[in-house]
Amino acid sequence: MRLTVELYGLARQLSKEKEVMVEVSDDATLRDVVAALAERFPSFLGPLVVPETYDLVDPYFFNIDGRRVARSLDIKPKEDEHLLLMFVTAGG
Amino acid sequence: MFAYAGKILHIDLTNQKTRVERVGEDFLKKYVGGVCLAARLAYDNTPKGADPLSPENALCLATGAFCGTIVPVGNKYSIATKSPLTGFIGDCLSSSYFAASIKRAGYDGIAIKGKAERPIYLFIDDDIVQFRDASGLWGMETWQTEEAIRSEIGDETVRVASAGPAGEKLVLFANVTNDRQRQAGRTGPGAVMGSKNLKAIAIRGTQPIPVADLEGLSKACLELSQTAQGTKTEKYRILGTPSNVLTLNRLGILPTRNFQQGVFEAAEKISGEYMHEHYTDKAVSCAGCPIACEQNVTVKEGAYAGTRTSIDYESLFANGSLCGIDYFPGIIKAIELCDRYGMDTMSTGVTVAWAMECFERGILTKEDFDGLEPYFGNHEAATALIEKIARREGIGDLLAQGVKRASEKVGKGSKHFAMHAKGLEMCGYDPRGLQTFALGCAVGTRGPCHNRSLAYEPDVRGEVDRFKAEPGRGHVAKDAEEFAAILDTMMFCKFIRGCFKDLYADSARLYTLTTGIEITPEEIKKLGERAWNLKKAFNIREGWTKDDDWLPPRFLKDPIPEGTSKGCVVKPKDLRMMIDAYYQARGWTPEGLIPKEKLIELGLEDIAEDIGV
Repeated sequence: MRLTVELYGLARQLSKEKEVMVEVSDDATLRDVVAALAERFPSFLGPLVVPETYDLVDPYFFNIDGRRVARSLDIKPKEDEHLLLMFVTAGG
Repeated sequence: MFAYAGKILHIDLTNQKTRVERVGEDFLKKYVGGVCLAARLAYDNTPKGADPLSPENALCLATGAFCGTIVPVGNKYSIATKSPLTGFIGDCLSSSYFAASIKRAGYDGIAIKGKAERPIYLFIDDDIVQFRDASGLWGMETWQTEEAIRSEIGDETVRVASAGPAGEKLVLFANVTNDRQRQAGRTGPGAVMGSKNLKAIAIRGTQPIPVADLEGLSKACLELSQTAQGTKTEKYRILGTPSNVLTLNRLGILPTRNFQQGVFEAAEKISGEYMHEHYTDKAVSCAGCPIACEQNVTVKEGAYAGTRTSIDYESLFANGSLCGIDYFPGIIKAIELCDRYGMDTMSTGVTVAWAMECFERGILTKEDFDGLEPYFGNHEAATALIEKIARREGIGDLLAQGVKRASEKVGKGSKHFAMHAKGLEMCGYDPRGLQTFALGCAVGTRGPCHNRSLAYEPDVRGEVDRFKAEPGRGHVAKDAEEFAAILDTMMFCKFIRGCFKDLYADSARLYTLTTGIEITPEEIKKLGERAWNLKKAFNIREGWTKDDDWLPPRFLKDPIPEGTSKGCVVKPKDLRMMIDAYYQARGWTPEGLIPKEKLIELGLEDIAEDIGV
């Protein structure tokens, strides 16, 4: 399936993309999406993605459609969902 | 005694007298520093019912245990005073070299009362306090004031905190500026300085600050600094807090056109990313900070060419999307003017946005604005209004009082969209799409504040359903407040909070290594609760009632019209339910008052006698 991933902050800085389409298998998890992103943007490995596990580095996380946060990378996204790779800062 | 000076400096401006109060380990361990210590000083030194702009109101500064030491991000100070904007506790934080100078001069805190006969500035030269004539400084902008004082004293190492022209004119949201671009920004401490004819506080501190275990502390600080230069703070280093613009816009909670919308169609043009590409010169840090979050920007061409300032998210939303302005140089200009005149960028932007909505609705006319046409998006009118506010000229005299008072005077339905709680203008997260934060905004002791209530975090990070109100949010909001209060009392910058493995244990360890005073993680946790109850006690003494914990009508009646949070509103019955749950979680009465037993449990026995029920 094809998923849209919106990139914010560091993800956008590193990829120079606002949004990318990711092709993964129909039973893929969010971790598979992270792996696909890391393959496409190797610069994600380290600052954004833990190379050994494909976990997202804290404080980055996925929000699905802007409405709910994925609490685990084992969640299986659905086709047509928009994944927001984001974080939020505080203060200022 | 290590790290602490053990002294509070009391200054009476009326009689030009000073005295030093000795404070012991027990007192310092109980209040530690920062917001908690400053609030205690304000409680003790400001009499009940004092007019905030009268000589009786005390302006209290407090450093922290780590201030002036090698502990990273510990060079901060707090100001607490009775806020002229809210009539309740006004507690602010600022940072950098001025903070360290207070400690190096030999003081943990300073309490200033009275009113000078004519404009003066204080020069605290270690043990010597001079009351110097400031008639030549009166009217000067903040940046000029710092330079002029250093030049007069003839020492570039002197650190200065000053009120700008806005503070002199008693603009109720005037701030205090130190080290050029750090501000104790909210609730109007600059107006309190102005009311005292106090233009500035200059400090030359030369004394060493010994710590209890230098070797152990060095090791712990190195570890913390290394973590703070890693991935956990990269978000602050690269784009700074302006990176929030696009994410909050996507979540439909970017305050836009005076909270009429939660999505700004031109968000890309005011984003951190856009700023970084077109305007950022460099990121700079406060004294002793390994993160360097502050984004210095310059306008390179056009009508505002040469305008320079630093920008964070809250200044950006308030003077950008909230005013419908997508012209970045215009936003930079607005923020620069606020900084030079010494005004809180947030309250200023929210007030200008209110004026814009009044204009668009025909409540205030072109004639009221002296020929200006402040429709949303008109950056030239916005900057002109900022000038008028700072000088209290024309409509600026009304706007200088903030949106609560201005809307009460103007009437005609404008209170509906006067975006404040307790008189303090809103911060940059639309609480309709963040139900826990809605509670945090309503019950905040200084008014709605993202820095005092971190309750937006569980909403945004999905620890709770941000669209749902439920009784459990009472505990969530309480915990978020106390977490923030610990940071503000230990005096850690909030940006380092993600670098601790365990805030309570790590803070306790650093505190003991620094001061030699044993403290447990449980005592650190209790500190947050003590700080919050102390501030609440101040408010109760000043006449707080349950009705003060509420939100402006727009949040309760007008759903967000579009975007991801479309349809969201704060239902009054939900808000009441969450507030009741919050009071219960805090161990307060259903009326929000503090039982004597709770205050005694927190070691605030004297305050229990004053206001406990």
